[in-house]
Amino acid sequence: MSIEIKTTTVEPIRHTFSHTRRRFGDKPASRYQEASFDIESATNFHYRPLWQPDKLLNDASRTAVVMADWGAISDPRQFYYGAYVQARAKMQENAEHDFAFCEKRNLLAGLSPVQREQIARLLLPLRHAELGANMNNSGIAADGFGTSLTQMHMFTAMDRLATAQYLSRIGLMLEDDGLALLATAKQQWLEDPAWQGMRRYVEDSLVVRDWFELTLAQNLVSDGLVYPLLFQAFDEHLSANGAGQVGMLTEFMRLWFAESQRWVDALVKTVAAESAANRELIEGWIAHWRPRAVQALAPLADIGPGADALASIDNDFAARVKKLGLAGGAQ
Amino acid sequence: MNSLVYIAFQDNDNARYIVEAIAQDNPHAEIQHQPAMIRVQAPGRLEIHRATVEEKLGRAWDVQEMLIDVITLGGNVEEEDDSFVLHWN
Repeated sequence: MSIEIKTTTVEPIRHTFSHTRRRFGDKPASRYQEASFDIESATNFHYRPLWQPDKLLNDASRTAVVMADWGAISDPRQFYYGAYVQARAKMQENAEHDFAFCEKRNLLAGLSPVQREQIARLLLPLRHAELGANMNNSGIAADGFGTSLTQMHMFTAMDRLATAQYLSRIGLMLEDDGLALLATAKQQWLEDPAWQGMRRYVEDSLVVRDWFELTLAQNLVSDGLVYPLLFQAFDEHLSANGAGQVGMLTEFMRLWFAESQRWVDALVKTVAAESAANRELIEGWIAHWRPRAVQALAPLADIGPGADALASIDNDFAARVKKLGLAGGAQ
Repeated sequence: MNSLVYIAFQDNDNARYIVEAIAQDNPHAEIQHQPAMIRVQAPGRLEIHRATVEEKLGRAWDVQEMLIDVITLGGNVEEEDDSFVLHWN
């Protein structure tokens, strides 16, 4: 007796949701596409927001840059909620492992008093700047248009809380009375002359109304200079002086920075390529914020990695902006 | 000497990107969406490139990772760090 196995193929009537089909065509769509594009309400709002009656609840005109279709923005990492959470869970697991190892072996005990002071003064007050970055990105997620764009900012907002928490934990591990150290860090953020430029930059950015300008000031310019300075150059500086173990505790920030710059670059590139008017606006904003950031970071560079490191980071930043097809306001 | 080489994936979110990358690198390939399975076949040769898959997936990707989603394949395999090639000797 022979058995014949037959397969019957049933053509699905619909491959994906209608809104996804309209954008990407009638074929099986990825979860990212289904969860990120043309999701937000765009028409037929009953009421205008009481707090801004000249705009709709979701309104593309809250920024001066104009896109024919904000759905053109996409995340090179293809993060929707599920993919994002999985990626971060993995990173967190590694970071927790590093912190636990550092604590178990008491690796920070070998730091010299000078290094201890340097780390406390350079890294701990930064947690307040990270909270500012969280607020900025949450604000952009509220004001921006298009889910593919707003979700990237919301994810980033959450990431900034993580960074702030890891910085706080470094403070708690650094001294027996870590809480007092964090209180000192807050005073440094408020009063230390070296931090006032940075605090001013953050506080000025908190009141920027144009959300696209804000994402440039925060995610492109500020992060693009602060992270290489405090998490790369400063880390190299510590390693060269025999304190490489601190790098275990800041690895999360380096990995996060390398990853998140990809979406920032993709966003800026897409919006700048849309029109000459957009490019001009973006170049103007970068030219406005970049010298301010460099100036704000100068006293911090002097405490740790040095002015040369900052100059070379600024050069790299110029190269990055140029690669995005922008003039970027070289000084 | 033009028999078909083929590879079949489970129809999941990972494999869809891989199939997209294969379709881009192998314009001659035929892609069949079957229930819960995607079969890709081509006369003679199929190439899967890490760079293309990474671009589609948006993350670093190890060629060996693909085997998690593979159901079956036919052809002589030539596996490198950067590519996975099926062909008949």
